[in-house]
Amino acid sequence: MRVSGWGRYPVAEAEVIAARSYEQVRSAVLGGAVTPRGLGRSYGDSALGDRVLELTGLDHFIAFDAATGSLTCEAGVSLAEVLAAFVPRGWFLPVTPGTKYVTVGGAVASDVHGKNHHKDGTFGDHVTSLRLMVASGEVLDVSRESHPELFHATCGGMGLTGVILEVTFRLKRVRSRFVDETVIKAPTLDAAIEAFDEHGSATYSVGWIDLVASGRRLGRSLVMVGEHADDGNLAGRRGGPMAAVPLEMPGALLNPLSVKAFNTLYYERIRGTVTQHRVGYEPYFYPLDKLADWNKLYGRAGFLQYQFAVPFSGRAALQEAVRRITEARLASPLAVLKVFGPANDNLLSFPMAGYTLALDFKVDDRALRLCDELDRLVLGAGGRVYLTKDARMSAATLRASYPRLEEFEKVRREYGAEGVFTSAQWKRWGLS
Amino acid sequence: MGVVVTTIAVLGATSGIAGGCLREWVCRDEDETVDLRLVARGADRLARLTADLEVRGAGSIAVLEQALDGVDDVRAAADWVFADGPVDIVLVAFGDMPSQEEADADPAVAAHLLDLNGTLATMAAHLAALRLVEQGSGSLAVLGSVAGDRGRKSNYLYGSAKAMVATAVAGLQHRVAGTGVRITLVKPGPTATPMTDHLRGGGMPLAPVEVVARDVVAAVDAGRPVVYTPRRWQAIMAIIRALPRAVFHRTNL
Repeated sequence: MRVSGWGRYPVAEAEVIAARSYEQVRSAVLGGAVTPRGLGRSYGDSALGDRVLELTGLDHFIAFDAATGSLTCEAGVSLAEVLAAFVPRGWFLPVTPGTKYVTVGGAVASDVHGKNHHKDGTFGDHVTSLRLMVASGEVLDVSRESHPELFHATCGGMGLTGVILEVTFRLKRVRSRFVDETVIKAPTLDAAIEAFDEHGSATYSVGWIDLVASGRRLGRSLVMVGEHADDGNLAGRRGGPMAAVPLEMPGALLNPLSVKAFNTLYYERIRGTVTQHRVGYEPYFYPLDKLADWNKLYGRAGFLQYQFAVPFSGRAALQEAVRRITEARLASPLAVLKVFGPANDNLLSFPMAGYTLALDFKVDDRALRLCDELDRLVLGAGGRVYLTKDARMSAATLRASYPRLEEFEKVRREYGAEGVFTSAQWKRWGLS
Repeated sequence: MGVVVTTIAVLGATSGIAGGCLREWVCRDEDETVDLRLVARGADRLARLTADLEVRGAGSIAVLEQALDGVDDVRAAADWVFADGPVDIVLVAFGDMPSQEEADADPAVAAHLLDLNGTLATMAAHLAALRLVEQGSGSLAVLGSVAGDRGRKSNYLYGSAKAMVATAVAGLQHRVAGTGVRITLVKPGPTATPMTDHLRGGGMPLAPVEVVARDVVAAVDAGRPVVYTPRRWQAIMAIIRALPRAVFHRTNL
């Protein structure tokens, strides 16, 4: 079966094994090297391999404690399922990425972050324990207390330490399905960063950055901050079917001109400098989920998502990156800027205190060259690139930017994971 | 938990489509308490299912762990389901689909396939319908299949068992007319469930179980006599039924 990540680049031929029970997982693990996979929302080649072990069939809730919000579920449960079951009862995800169509296991393996990273950290920071099948087929209950090294290797470990079977994590209380959003128009990158600083106490903050506008409008942004509303309105319509992108879109649809037009409209549609409104949690957190298969917008060649983080001291590198991306005229309309809070103890976790920028490129040689250039800039500033979105970073860049990689490899050796849990990405880096 | 209490019984509760329907029923309305009576085999899978439904907010869950391999099993299951008071909805969902090759290789497999999906499913529908008539109200949903609409070389044994169910349900619908009991025949197209895992990647797209479950629950609520799910299968099967033999025999369905 042909398999790819969400970016549809690269595409690989793989044997796909669908597991619906722990026994099926065990026989797959004991039968040769496997690549665990959830809903396939990592962008590049981290969930690709010769034998892909698809875990979306492990989709049961196991236990919920309404006194503490502690939820235990199988790893293949999607965040969408968690929300559908718990928002009506006044509970929300502690951390959510920009799509709800990821599995809980995937959220742990990528140690995903969201708009509240500056306050609440990553998804892994809210996990209390994991049930993990290691290379021997043995099932371990892994927590910070019981197996600290294995726990911190597995959260953010890209599925390379074992198969996550179950996750226990804490939901948080909300009093509404709505979010009060404030949009701040920032005419420059500096103004955007200032807005993040000013709203550092907000629960959620994220910036949409225009990577087309140049000159004195370079880096203009809409900074959006949000708080869960307090109106007690929890019930709501269940989500209807998603609109679909019709077949294969011509890749030329997203060109510098259309992106420029979109961005200008998107920026100028906000009239006041600061505007406020109340929106449902779905349009607030998951605007793109409305459009199923939005990844097809980039045409058959697929796309690269590039996300980097640099420490606060690397602000000049961020500015330089924005300038180079804008000058290259390759960017998509969907570029996201955010200020991260401190890094955690997970060995391969991406976020670090500082700035992060995420954007898409249609795959071509110029985009690949630009990414290499950006890598150098990011490395020079002491930053790093998000593994979950990567399809092209070099092994040298990986080693230089993830200083705890050796510790990670040591934990893998200890638990016999080498040669058993792997991925196309891992092999691309020449790692075993 | 709310004011309305609905009691739902499922024969073959661990089947993929039944699992989807149960989740839909349990989650669809915060003001409704859904009490469940579930029959299936496989203690481990049943335990997983009931834990899941409890977390999703089900009311009471009663479980009978029992295979449905003979008419005595089916009768015992029907007795058990109705032993504890009236039931609002009964779903008959058990079945299995070995491949045509397995059935070719072993007549015992073929006979069991016919028995389980045909005779025993029909018996379950029949017994449940009579109990509902005694109650004077209730809904019965029975899983048929688009495969029952026309025999095809790739799965006519399974299809003929499902055709038997379809004809029996038509007769039961006739029989219960005017009694307050409503019966729905569900005809799913190929659906992504454990039963069809061996068909994945084989060119035939499999419908997500959530879509099928939503259609089933809506059709039961509306009391529709027949529902194709996903909906497009109604048109597809109309065409397949209408194809002249000469054309049909040149297809590879």
